[in-house]
Amino acid sequence: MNVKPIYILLLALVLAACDAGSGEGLDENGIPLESNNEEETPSEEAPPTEEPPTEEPPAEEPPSEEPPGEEPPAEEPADGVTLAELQTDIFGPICAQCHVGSGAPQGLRLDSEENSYNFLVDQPSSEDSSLLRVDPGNPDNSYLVHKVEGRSSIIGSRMPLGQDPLSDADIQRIRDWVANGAPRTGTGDASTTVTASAFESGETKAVFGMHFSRALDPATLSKNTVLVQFIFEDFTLVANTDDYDLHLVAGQDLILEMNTEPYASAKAVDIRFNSPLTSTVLDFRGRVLDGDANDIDGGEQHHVLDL
Amino acid sequence: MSWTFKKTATAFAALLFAILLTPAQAEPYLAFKTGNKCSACHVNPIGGGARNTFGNYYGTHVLPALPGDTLGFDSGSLTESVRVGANLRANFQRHEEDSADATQGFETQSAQVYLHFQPKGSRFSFYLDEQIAPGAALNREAFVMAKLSGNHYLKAGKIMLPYGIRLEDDSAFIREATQITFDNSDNGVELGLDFDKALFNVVLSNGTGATNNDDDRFQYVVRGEYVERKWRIGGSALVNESTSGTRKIWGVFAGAHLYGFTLLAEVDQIVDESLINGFGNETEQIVTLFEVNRELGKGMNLKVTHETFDPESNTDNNERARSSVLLEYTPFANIQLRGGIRNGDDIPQRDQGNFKDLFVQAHLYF
Ligand code: HEC
Repeated sequence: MNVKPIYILLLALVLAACDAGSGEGLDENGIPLESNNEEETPSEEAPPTEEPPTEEPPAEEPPSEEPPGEEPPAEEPADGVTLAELQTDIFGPICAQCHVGSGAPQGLRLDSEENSYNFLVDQPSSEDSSLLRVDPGNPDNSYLVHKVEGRSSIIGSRMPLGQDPLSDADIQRIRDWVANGAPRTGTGDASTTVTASAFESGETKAVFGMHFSRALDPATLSKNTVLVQFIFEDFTLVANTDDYDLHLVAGQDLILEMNTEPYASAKAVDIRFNSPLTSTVLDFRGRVLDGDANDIDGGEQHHVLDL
Repeated sequence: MSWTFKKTATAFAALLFAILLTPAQAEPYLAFKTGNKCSACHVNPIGGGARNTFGNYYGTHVLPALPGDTLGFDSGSLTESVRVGANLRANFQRHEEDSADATQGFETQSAQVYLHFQPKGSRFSFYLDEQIAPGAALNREAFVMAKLSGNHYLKAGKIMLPYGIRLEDDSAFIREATQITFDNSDNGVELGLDFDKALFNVVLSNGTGATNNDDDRFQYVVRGEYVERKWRIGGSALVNESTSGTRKIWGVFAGAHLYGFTLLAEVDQIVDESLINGFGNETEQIVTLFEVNRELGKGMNLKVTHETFDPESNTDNNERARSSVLLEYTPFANIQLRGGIRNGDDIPQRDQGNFKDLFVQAHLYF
């Protein structure tokens, strides 16, 4: 086949044609800057650490001399995610490319904070009417979460359609917002919940991770807030506090690192966190962590894991 | 880099499946090139989905470099009254955004199965289009069609709206911005007046946009197309009444087959009262498509596309563009290989609009 110069010309023409706008005077969604409302679209220079006003002021944080875990250096911990943040970072720039206006797919509009709230929270999914798009407090029962996680039970495609999936961190933020009761503003009144996020055990070391739906108050965290017991064939040993360490990452993830060498023949490890028997943990609002996910503050998070 | 074994395995299985079966998808340019209406090849008079006997003949004998079996080409016609069909598209794609690391991998882009049931001698037929991958089955279209006098028809059920040029690529601006896609069908009735050289469609459907659909507001669509052997011209308009504001779309499209080149063009304006722009007014958008096709050899088509999207006409400097060069090769009946590059140009601060894609697609049609 001989490719005539005309094709090369055509090709060059198409590829060279750059008629995209210069973007001058626009924000990252192509909206004129002066018409933005300050809260929803922070200007490019604004540090991402700025918190939008929350309903309740964060509890006074007593300066903690000796936090049990290292604070992450530069990154300020997120206290809990707001719908405004999800709108600015995810729903607006990614989803509203399609979920916009009155012709939005499945009648789901995600083109403003208000619409996202009205069309998601407590609204039945039109693809799977047995589920709500967002069931406040219940990320695992929310079709929105299923769609962005790409679960095999969903109808149609993983969202965002035809694009790279959302990052794990972004999916986690959506889950947190739902877990916190899917509040219209602020990070909500619901209790702060815990999910086990990782467990790995090796020759001499085991690591257990927990994720919180809101940031913890690091000052309330100490080795006494966890009780680690190793379970042997016919007895149980309480682990020496020197044999484990806690690391709080970005306020919302706690990593428990255990030295299993002294407990080499243990079959399993029993982990209790936020137990009223030991010491409870507060979230950044000064409320006790809801360890047993019963929507009431307080309660123990308990796991028995095979080694 | 997202490269998982599972995806690769799935893609291989899909490719294998595709090679064993048969794929192909006509794309509007074929109708434009041959001077036909969509109904010449498709069961659905407005195009897309299952092919009829002539469509299957064309797809197996005229389109490919090597024609298929003379007798078996219409094997999807199981009995006189039942016909099945399928499309499967498996992709390998490399996606690169200016700001992020490139991602690449295999995926089953989509698979559909079609069922057309027409009891012998009956005016009525039933048509079903189910997307079986990715995800659990998603019903795209399900309707009953009644033949009226001549070739006129009436459809009722879940239908894809007849609007503009029905490109296969749902991510094209003229599809995505107008929201007339294969994934966005609506419940309603469609009247089709099918004359020798012209087709008119009128649709009344539920419309979307409210949290529920019992709002006594509807969506109206009209589309007309005049077809000559070497050229065609048409227009469409849509009004979707919704509690949050009415959405109107109108546009014109045209096509021509000249000196071996097949040209397609469409321009649409979208006015959406339910979307308030930065100035507190309704949003006005303009989308365009321009596509040139050239047969390089038997079974080989070169497609060059250029699209623009102005997401808000009253705002300056916000335009977006997409252009692509694609080679479509149909070596033999039922399988088409497509590959090419697509380039997205957007304002510098919108990362997701500034990309380069490289993709290869195996398309099986049956
Ligand atoms: C390219 C267009 C496109 C983008 C981008 C997109 N969607 Fe979708 N969305 C669709 C289409 C089309 C459907 C219906 C078909 C399907 O589910 O595959 C849909 C369906 C959905 C549904 C199911 C609605 C219901 O009521 O059952 C949810 C939830 C959803 N999308 C959420 C999102 C989220 C969240 C994002 C952003 C992370 C997103 N979508 C991005 C096009 C898109």
